[in-house]
Amino acid sequence: MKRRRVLGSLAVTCAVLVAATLVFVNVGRSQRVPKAEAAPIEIATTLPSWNGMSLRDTAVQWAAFCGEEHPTDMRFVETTRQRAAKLLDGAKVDSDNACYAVVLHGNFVDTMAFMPYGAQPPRGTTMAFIVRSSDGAMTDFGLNDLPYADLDTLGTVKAIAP
Amino acid sequence: MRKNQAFSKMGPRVLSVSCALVFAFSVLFFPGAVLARSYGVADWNAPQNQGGYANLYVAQGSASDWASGGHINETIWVATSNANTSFQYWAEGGYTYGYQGLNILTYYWAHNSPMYGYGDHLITSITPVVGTWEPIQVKWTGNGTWSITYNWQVGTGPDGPSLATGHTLWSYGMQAGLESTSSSSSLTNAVASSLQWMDSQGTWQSGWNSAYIYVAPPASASWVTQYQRVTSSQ
Repeated sequence: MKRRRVLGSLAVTCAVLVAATLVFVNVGRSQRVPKAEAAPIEIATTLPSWNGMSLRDTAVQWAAFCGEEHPTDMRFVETTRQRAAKLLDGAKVDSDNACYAVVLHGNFVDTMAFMPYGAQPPRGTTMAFIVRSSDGAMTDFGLNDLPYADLDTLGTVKAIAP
Repeated sequence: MRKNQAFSKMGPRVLSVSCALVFAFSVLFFPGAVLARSYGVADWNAPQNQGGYANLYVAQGSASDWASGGHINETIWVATSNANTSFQYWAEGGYTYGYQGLNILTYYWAHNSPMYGYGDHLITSITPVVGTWEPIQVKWTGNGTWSITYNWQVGTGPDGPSLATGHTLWSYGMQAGLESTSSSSSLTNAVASSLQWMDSQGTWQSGWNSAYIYVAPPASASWVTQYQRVTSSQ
């Protein structure tokens, strides 16, 4: 009798887990991924790279670090750091070197974020980062749900081939 | 009787299978909920305030997981936008070994705001030196902005302090100490000293009275002077 009760509880638990999974995945698909840009953007034929690592390699790698193996709508613009940080994160940063601002989309969870004890890892459908032109170092990074439709205010936006 | 015996044999098995299922579910669909992260911090559920301050000792350390974006850092975190120690929103400043794939020791700041979400930023105009102290202040400066100031050098420079916007006023919590994304990273005898907070009237007050030490091993932390000075290691 007890065993039957335990097995019954297990079945209910499994059903709840499966249902929660379906809800979670569908919510993620239907609400969190932003719609693609309407206007086509020129795809960059050559990409900046440093030590054999291109801007695309960096974007794909950091997306994977944040749990997204197939990022979409990857774009970049050549600009300067303070303008880019202001637009992407509302941030005032302390240097103003030449840089590339990169934006991509997917479902991201940053388990490596800087955060206090008790906080939840940041999540977002948009990843934005800034790479220093001179050496490819990432100087700024962020996750949120902003579309950044105004990225072209920083310069000419180019797409990165998927 | 037989059923009871069968149950006593099956019970642990059923329980372990259930636990494994729940764990697998958590890892697959809520990866953020299963973090391999250690802390050794002073954690304060503070009265209404508009800023925090700590003088951080730059200790020797290394981040083993720097290549994958990992870090070990000594930091002051201040809740923002009416958040408490659940830290839905915050601004922070400190030094870190490892920053976004760079194997470096650097100052940085980060925040999570209602408007812009999460962001972290490298500080390049000043460089930490092991064995020195760095006073760091995080405070409300109006217009949705919290400032992060390092040794007043950045604050008094031509560009002013680093600014985190997209927030609102009032903090109800702060922390200071060590955070690490890998159990194999190290930081030896880091210190957050002279802990202060800015009250709702804009006056700096000494001591995080009633703060407690929170430790997630292998990090460790303890008071050197209660509510004023905490040391952390890993």
